[in-house]
Amino acid sequence: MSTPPAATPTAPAPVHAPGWWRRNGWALAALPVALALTLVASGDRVRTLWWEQDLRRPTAAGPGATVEFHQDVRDGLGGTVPLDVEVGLDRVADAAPLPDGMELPTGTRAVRVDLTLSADPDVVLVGCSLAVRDADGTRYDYVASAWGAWQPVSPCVPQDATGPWPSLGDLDDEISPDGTGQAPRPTTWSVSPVVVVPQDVEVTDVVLWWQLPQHVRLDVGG
Amino acid sequence: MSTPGPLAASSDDRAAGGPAVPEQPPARVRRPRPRALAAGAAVLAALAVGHVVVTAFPVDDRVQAPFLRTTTVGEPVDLRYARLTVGRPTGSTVLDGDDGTLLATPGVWLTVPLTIEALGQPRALGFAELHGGDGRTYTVFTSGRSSFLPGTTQPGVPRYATLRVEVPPQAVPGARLRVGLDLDDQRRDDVADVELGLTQADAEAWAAETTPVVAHAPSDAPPEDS
Amino acid sequence: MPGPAAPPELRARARAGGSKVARRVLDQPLQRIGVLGALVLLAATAAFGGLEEQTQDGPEALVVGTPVALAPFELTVHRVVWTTDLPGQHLSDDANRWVGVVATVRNTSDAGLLGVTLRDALTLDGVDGLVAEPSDLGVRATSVVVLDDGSSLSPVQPGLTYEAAFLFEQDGSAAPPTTAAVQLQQHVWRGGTMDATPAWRFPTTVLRGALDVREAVSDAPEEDA
Repeated sequence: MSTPPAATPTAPAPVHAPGWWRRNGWALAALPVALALTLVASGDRVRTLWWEQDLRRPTAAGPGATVEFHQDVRDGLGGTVPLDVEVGLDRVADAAPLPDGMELPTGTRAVRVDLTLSADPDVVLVGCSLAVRDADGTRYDYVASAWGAWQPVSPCVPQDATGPWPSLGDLDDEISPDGTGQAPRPTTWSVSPVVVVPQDVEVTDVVLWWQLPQHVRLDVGG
Repeated sequence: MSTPGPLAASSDDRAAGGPAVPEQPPARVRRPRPRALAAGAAVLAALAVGHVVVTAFPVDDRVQAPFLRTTTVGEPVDLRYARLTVGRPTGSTVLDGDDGTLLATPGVWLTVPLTIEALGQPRALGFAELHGGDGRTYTVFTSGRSSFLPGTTQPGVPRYATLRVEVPPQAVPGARLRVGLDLDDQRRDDVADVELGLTQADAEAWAAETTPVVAHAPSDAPPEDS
Repeated sequence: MPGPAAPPELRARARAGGSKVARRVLDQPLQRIGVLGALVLLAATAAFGGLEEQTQDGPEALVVGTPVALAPFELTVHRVVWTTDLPGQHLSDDANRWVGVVATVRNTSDAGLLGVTLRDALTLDGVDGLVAEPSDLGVRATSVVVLDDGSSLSPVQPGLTYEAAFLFEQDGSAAPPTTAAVQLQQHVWRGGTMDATPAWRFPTTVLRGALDVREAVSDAPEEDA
């Protein structure tokens, strides 16, 4: 015997709505995470416009050691060019004799940095920068023509066999249609740039870089 | 937005005796509910308050303003990137550019010697400006008649450079010099604001002076006549 | 298409009157009559010069010797001279000559300005063989020099009155000019299309004058070598 369903529905059992805390619990837990992610995402320019405009990613070598350095250098034409080089610090010593014509200002001394590098002759290494640092992290740059001296513009390649220069795209043929005419760069060579530092500075490491923020850091032995 | 009510009957010249058209209720604009009104009013109020806040407080300028570090002649000032000491200014109506040229001026020449000690890494100061006592701003570029180009300063090796600027004599009393790092952009960075301590007597003396005042090239050796 | 334009009584009279044209015209919707009516009106203005080509509002005439306010400068053009020998200035070819516009320059703004803004303020037109490339404002000066000492006038400081010459290099193969059109431009202080910072931008020609050009006499501006 079937009875039609009751006309009046039974009164629903009283239910307490969940409290504000229970309803929003998950969201509250996710809030700090979301805030942190927001800060990180909106702070991306801090990384690209400030952090990466200095020496931040070292490839370090202990005293007397040789290190292999690799970087994909942006070539200014939209692509990258691989750069592979092995660098070793032989010695940092007082520069005696001084380079031709150099006159040191009072309170300074000249240090000579002896490096040995190896690379393929077709790797572009010309656009390098060199500096020495002290224990505070103050950086003293190598300056090619200053204080009366004229040192090689590029401190990391031999002056008479610099190897290839960076490509300028379409301008390459106009600048030097049949190559630079120089001898090819040897696979291993040494350079000795001279850096002027204040008298009382103790050189703790040598940094060498082509494009920030990657660089080679060579610690000076005790 | 309330949807349009039923279309009002079109009033063209259809014959009165045409087929009977059922009477349409007249179109009515639905009265907006109080909540919609309140929401609209809140949006307008927020816009008005925002406008007042943005225009009453020049937030953009203040947020981007450079940090001025005031100092006087002879007192070193510590900036983020360098330690700067400004020497006593001199002036004349003729400038010796230290490269053999003599420059005349319809006003007076002002030369200010500076000592720059870079901090942390080599720095090349590129910005300078003279705020004259007459309220005008006198540009000092990196080359030209009014220029300041100290070059790259190695940390620990002080650089001695001279700033030269031509100004009308009435700008000399109360002039202040601003020196900074980046030529184009000094926002949010340290800028030295130097009170040069010049008076009307200085202006008059220099306007009558014809002995050339020398603007030395920048160097790492202190100038002999300092 | 909305209904016909004409009121019902008029249309009834047109139908009654028997004129086909009248009936057709009055049966047209308002839109069509509007467009047609406008075209008829426009064509009718041809009768009193409505369709003649309009002449452009040109720049005013330049008067020598009177100061002219062209924001941010005040310029007074004195004369135009040419010379082959100007100590302190270097021609790109020894056979070339300098055409110089001698003027008094004053910066009337409250901040110093660079020479590049000044070079936009006065340009030359109508001289053949000028070495510099012409732009839409005429040919810009290669440099502006202070007459007293031959140095390049940059920065132009406010509150000072400079006696200067705008120098234009002319090719030696062209004949020395006898007349030149000097154009004066004024700038606007506003932000640009790419850069919102206010600066003196958008030079527009406000004055133009044809001046005689003569050879510079030997005692005209001396410069220190």
